[in-house]
Amino acid sequence: MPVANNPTLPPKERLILELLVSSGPMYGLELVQRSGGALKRGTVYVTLGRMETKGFVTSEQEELPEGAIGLPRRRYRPTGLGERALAAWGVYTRALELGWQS
Amino acid sequence: MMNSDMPRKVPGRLVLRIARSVFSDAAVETMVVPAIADLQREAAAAPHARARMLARARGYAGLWAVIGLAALVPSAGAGAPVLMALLGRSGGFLVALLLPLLFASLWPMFGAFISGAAVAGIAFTFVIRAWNDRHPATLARRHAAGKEPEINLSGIPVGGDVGGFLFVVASVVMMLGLPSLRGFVIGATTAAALLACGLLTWRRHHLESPGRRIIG
Repeated sequence: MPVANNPTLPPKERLILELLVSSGPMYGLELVQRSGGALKRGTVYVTLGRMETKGFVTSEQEELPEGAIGLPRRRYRPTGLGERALAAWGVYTRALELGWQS
Repeated sequence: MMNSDMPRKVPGRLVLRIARSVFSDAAVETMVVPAIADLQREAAAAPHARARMLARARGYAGLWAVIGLAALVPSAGAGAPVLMALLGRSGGFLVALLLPLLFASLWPMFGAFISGAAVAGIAFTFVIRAWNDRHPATLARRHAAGKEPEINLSGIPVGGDVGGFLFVVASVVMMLGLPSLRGFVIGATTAAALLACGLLTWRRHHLESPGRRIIG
């Protein structure tokens, strides 16, 4: 198979999966704050939406308490597929690194 | 679900209304609503007025970035409705937007006479349009149902859609702005006209069936 057709996990999606797997479900803004500047609030929801379409994450709206003002946030959690994709990507990149070194 | 009766002072209310009129419900729910919710939470949690102002500025910057991406970038997942509207059918609207840019960039070549002629020409088109609405020309009406670009109200179709339109614009720019190329443009146009006449004559004699005629 040509290298260009190999499946990839973009760096931002990988980072989001790593954060969600290591720290549990989070809101979008929490992901931005914990990413150390790697994720921006202007793009994080676009990336999360794309990941949800791929089946890597799932989300649910928070329950607003009675009388609360404003809109509900979305809480994201990794799916089984997302966790497997992250693990497989780790194996894949380690194998590539070993190949380069040998 | 979404709290639709937000008080007037809650930030993001107007942006949400705009987003709902532009994007699909799914795009609003997954991209715009969470960004507005973040803005509202941060603004509400700010301890004093200055912090609240900064939180709002940060939140709105992020929110407009989300909306810009969703509106203009096809891969953002919202269908890029604004980009699609700008492109229109065959990119025609985008070409129309490029025209002022073309004239602005070529401005040093033109000068007062051309700018006056352009203004007069635009005014004249409104007059011709008004006159044509009162006294519609049958020739113009013949092509009225078509979508192809046409040269003025005489209804002469431009071949090649957007490409033909660009060719016409480029020819006019060369004629007006580059005097050294006038001889080339006139010669090429004459040669093309002679070739077209020859082609028409040949087709009339060899392909006379009505469905294959070029004009008529």
